Order: sequence, then C-alpha cells, then structure tokens
Amino acid sequence: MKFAVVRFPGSNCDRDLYNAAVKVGAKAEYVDYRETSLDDFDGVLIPGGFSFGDYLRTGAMAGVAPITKSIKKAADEDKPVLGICNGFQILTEIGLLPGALIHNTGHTFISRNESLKIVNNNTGFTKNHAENEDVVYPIAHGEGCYYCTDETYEELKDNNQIILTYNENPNGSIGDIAGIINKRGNVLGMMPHPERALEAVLGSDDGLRLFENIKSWEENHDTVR
Amino acid sequence: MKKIELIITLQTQVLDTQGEALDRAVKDIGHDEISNIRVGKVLYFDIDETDTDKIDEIVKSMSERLFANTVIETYNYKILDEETV
Repeated sequence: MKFAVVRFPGSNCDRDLYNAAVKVGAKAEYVDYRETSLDDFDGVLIPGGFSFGDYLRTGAMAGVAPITKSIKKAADEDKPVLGICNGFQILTEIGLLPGALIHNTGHTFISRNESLKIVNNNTGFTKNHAENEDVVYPIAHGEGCYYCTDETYEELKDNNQIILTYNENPNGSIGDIAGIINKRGNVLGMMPHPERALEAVLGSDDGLRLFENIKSWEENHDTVR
Repeated sequence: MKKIELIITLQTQVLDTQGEALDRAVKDIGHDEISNIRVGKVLYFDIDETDTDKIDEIVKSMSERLFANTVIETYNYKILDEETV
C-alpha cells in the first residue's frame, strides 16, 4: 500500500501523516500540489494546516490547484482518500464531501485532546473499531464547525455517512459531526487529528488503528461494500 | 475592459462570528441602535470583455468555482461605471 501525502503551500501536518503511514508499515511519498497525477498511488492523504494561508476561504485555493483533478480521479477509482482538518475543508470545497466547515461558534481556536465516538465501524476506515467506541484524538482548528442543510444532514444519517462524532461538541458542528464519508465509503473527511495520536506517551495512540485500517484497505473496504 | 465589484456574504442562516463580535464591539462603544452586523468580502477586478451577457457568464462561473462557496455564501456583482473607476 503506497500513499500520496499531498503538500500544499501552508500544509503543516504533512510529516505527521507521512509518519503515520510509515508507522503502520505502509509506504508514503510527498506529492506537490502542482503535480497532475496520483496514478502511482493506492491511496491519498490530505494533511492539515493552512493551505495558501486560508486566503479567501479555508481550502478554496487548494480546491483549484492542479493536483485536485487527480484527487477526484483517485476517489472515482475507489482508492481511499483521507482529508484531515484542512484536508477535510479541501474535500468539501472540491465537492467530494457535502457541507462546509465554518468558524467555531465559540469564536476561539481550539487545540486540545478531544473525546470522540466512532459511530459507524462498518467502513474501510473504521473496520477494527467497536461500534460506538470512544477514542481520543487531538483537535486544533478555528474553522471546524461542520455546516450543512437539514436535507443534507438527513441524507448523511440515512446513508450512515457520519463516522465520527464529538462526545462534547466543541465547535457547534451540526449533529456533533467530527467526520463523514462519501456515499461510496472511500472518501473520509475529519477535523480531529488521528495522525497526532500515535504514541500513548504523548497522550493517545488511538489514531494508529485508523491507519492500520487504511493500510489493509482492499480487505477492509471489500468486506463492507 | 470593465471593472467589476463582487460582493460575497454568508447566507443569512449561517452564523457569522465576525458579525457577532462586531455587534458586541459597537455596543461597547455605546451604539445600541446598530445590530445584526454581517461581514462579507468584496473583490474588485478588471475583465477584458464588454458584452454584458458574456461578463455575466464569466463572473458567475468564477464565483461558483472559486470566489464563493455557494453552500454557505451568496454573491452579487455589478459592473462599475467608468467614472467611478
């Protein structure tokens, strides 16, 4: 399993994501946002940070970068695509995931360990978690309030697209949403940082299993389809 | 060549935290008569086109693709008079 870690100007979790992939025994390579192909990769990781300085809107500029078409192609080819934090914002901007991320309702930037619930373990990303299992991942965002229309929210619920929720909603997200997948189940966007939860000594290693899941993508994704 | 003024605002049902903070600030100054502040963005740009239909097509296309996120924002534009440029 070889992952592309897409790097935009202003990405700052790229090395953590690279480290996460390597730690679970997968291969990883950085790919510049000006590249136009991801054909050599089995999966795509879009890191957190502040791509293009969050100019105009979070993820707006990254959403029209040359690499974007290849990210959409990889998603069409049923490869796993994981966007974390700014990566989630980018996935909503390019339309691979519904809704948008807006300013936290409490106005502040929040950086801390957060208690979350895996509400759908029947996906290629969450297969080896128990249903409704609690995990701790750090969050670090100012614009992580998930927003969508009531209609979209009902659709997300009906299709079991909500994967991860906050146990105590920190940012005003509708339905306590922290992470969602697309209908097909191969594109996951989430605000919390599993790639920063790989060492128990640093607070949590709950993030490891998410990457272990994606490393065995073929096996895991196939069994839930 | 025409000059365009494009105004982007959050849709009314979307919480505007900047507007909320400003609402409090104007009250701190003592102006209770001001409320419901909404903060938007304004973009000015030149467009090498004179046909208004063509301008409409280009500005709308660019607004939908990049300038605005129509999930949370709305946009309006006008072609500025030559005198005001």
